[in-house]
Amino acid sequence: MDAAPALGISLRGVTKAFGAQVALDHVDLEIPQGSFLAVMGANGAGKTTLLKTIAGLAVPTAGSVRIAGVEMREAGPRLRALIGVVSHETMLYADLTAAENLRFHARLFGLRHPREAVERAGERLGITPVLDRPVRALSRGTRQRVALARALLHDPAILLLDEPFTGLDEAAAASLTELLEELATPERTLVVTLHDVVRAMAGPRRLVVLSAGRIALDTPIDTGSEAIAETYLGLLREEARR
Amino acid sequence: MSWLGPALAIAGKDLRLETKTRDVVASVGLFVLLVVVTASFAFPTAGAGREGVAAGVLWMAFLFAALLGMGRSMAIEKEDACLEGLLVSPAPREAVFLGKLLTNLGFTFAVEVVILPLFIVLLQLRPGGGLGLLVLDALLGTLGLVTVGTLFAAMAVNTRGREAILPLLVMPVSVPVMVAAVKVAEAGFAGGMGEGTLSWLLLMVGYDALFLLVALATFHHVTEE
Repeated sequence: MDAAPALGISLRGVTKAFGAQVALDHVDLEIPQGSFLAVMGANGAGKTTLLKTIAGLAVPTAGSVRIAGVEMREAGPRLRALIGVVSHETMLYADLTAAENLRFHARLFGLRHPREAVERAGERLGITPVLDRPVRALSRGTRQRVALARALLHDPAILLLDEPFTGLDEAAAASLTELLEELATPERTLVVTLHDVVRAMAGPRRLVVLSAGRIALDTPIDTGSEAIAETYLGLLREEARR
Repeated sequence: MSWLGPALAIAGKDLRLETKTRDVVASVGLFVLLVVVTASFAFPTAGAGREGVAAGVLWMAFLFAALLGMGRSMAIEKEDACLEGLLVSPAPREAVFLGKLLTNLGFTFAVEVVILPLFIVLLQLRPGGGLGLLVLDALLGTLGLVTVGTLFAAMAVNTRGREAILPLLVMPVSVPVMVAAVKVAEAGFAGGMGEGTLSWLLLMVGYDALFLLVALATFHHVTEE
């Protein structure tokens, strides 16, 4: 069965403008299934918009975003059920407990056994002891784990993470890095936006750098990580000068 | 995926949230109670035209209660990007709208169930056989108001002054259903169906059906960037 390549993400000439401000400018990007892609760039470079466009939350002003060959604009529930999204906001209701939040999302995703799915996700993310606590009472790192559990409840084939390291301490960040490496299987596609070039070198296998909504660098991350880091910092300096 | 499951999940989640925070019940309930008590002191206990004025005050109270509740229920979705969490799920957008509609209807009806009898008692109204008509009026009028309000609350939630913008959006569009609801309430307070009451009821049915269809057809566009 050759289902694997069918779940690739394809962006062709994607432009997204908010009024006069162009967030994405004719972006062409092919992300085959099984990719672990880091997207970097300065603030306002278009990273979040790129992820939102792939997730179907933002509609391109021009161009097309396709997943498994299907235009995201026309994506039905089946296609959306393949995607998990972690934003730098948690998408969790602060006054509900972690378990209540997760059970709610399990129902939204039509999972047959929400309680069991929540228990499994709790064990996987190491949040079982805090499941009955309100999200409001959890630390930033634990909230982020609950947010990841929410995004992983339905075992998505595509996981989109928008600056998931924001606000995490070193221990929580290291733990998240390990988890992402564990999640990066040949069946699953990971796209993660980052600020920290060191983190981009620890896990992701490909780096795309956005600058003013355009792709300024698209390179595999292998042995030449120092050269890539230097190129990236050079791009940032150049952008700051502009 | 059907609409009903996710819609009920969203409404159930909102009910659970409300039982924990009591945000909507506390703010809306107190406001409407204040309106009714104030009206009971200001209104004459006898005289012609009392039913018409009472109907107007009642529906103004219902309108502001609905606006407060709807604004709050959508603001909850804005915090921590929860609305995006709903939109990235496989739940159809129409189901998300219906879920929020059920929530808003539930909160508004809950307030009305308490306020309507209190209003009748405090203003010494004698609807008699018109009680059933008042209930039907509340059902149809609230459905219209809340349908329009839920759609506009989703529009306003991403704006800076959403609390101020929601009434500005809802009030002009809700004029037909408000007028009809007041007319039917007036007949209800006067004891039952009067001349033209059936036409007002049919207007509300038509308004509700039209805006329910419009909201279901446009919610997708309202929530996308």
